[in-house]
Amino acid sequence: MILKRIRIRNFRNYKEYTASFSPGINLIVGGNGVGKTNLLEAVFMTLEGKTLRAVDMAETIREGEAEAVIEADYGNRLESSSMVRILSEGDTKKELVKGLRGVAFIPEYLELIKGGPEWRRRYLDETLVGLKPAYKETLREYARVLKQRNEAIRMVRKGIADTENIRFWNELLLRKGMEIVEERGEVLRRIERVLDEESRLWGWRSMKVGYFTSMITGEDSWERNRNKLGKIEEAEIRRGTTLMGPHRDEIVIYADGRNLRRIASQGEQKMASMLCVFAKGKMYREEGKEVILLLDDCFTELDGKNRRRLGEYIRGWDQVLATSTDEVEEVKADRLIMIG
Amino acid sequence: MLYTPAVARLVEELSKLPGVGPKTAQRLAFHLLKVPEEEARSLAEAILDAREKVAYCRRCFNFAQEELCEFCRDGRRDPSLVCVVERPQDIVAVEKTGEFRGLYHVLGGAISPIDGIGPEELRIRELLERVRREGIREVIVATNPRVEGEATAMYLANLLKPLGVRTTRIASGLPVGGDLEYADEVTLGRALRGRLEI
Repeated sequence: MILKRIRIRNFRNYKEYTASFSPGINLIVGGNGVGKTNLLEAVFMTLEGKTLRAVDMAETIREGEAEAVIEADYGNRLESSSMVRILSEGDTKKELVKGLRGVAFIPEYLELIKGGPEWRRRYLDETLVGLKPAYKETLREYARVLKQRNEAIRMVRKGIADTENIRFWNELLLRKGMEIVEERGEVLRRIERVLDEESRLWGWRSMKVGYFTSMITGEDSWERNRNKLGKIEEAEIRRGTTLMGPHRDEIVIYADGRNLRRIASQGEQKMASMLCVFAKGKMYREEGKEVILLLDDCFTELDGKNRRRLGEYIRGWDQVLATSTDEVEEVKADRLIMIG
Repeated sequence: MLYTPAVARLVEELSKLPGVGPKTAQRLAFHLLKVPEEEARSLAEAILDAREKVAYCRRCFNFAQEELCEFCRDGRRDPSLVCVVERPQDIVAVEKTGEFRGLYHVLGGAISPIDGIGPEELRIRELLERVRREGIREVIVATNPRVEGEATAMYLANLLKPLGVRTTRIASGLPVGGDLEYADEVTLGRALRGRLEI
């Protein structure tokens, strides 16, 4: 299944726009600010039901208009499906086109490698939710327990409640926290395997992922976590916050033995963050889904050799929509779409 | 000004009700002004009457018109079985099942520090007192399946078990009469984890 055509109205900078796409690589070329990213975002929203940059759906409606409409035609030789999204109604259902997923790279994902641990936690959680929708509820519950427990800690710190009020939340914190740590650990092993396979793309020999959590796993973990939580109680009151749990997890990504957050050029960090996106898509494919890659401004900062490598690599995906400010001679596009 | 002062006041009061926004409040206000006067008066009297006559049951803290609520007064119900709920309206839900013939205990909410509700704000001491005095065999904790309800349930279990009373928690499961295919992932996932031997 591929995207054949899209028609957008009153979405971001577009009043009315129609584009057709081919199987294989579609290169979207246009100058700065003409709306290349917005076009990718419109496609992404029809596949994943959410915006690319975590904003309210309503913000994607063109200024002064009541609603934005995205119509997309998906199909293959055998079947076709048409879908319409009216963004003022804000529906957030997952897997909108059956058996087809979209994964996107945008330049700010550089932070996956370069940024703080919260970026990698979010990547991990989003990947997990994509594979296992019910995980979202576990995350939501954990966040709620954390909020309640932190409030209890603040009250104890201010002397308006006794420490018992913190302890009511310990069991839930551990139960939900251990659930998250277990899920994250499992999906990380999978991500590590896929990252390692895909890293040949850049000529890297190996990729590894390290998972560092304050939760104890394995045998007797329940008792041991409970003891640990008891021991840090005083410190928690002093610091005024919960000091143990998956909200403090750190994930470290290595290539050829280097911690990429610390020792890598900006270009390499971008290459690695792209791999994270590809790994997510690869896992969807392992689940039997077809995947459309949406790549925003992925060729800049790469040298000619790596542009060629990337151009060849993306050929192996069901369909690719990639934006660029200029034509890319190293990439043989099946269709060139000029905007602006 | 949108309304004359008396209408504005009515709209404002109505919009304080749960689930009533400004639009609904306006609709209700204009409706009340249009209906025969007796009808509006009857509503106002019903509100005042209920407020005046209804208090909390001395034993279980359900709403009651006398000292004890209708369940606590009903001799056919099993007083050794107590179902703990957050609010009086939860009793209505449990009653509708027709599965429960014991008595109730209304906590008045669930533990929630961000809302300033600790165990002291709930009728937990009163529950422990009942367990000690009334020869209760089993306490079924039917707080809401949210984290606040869960935390409250665990807190109660820790206090009740040392008293030698059987303490149980309602299960979460699937809606009956539907297809598995259409169950939401969270509910189905929880139901799988809480599976029972057959």
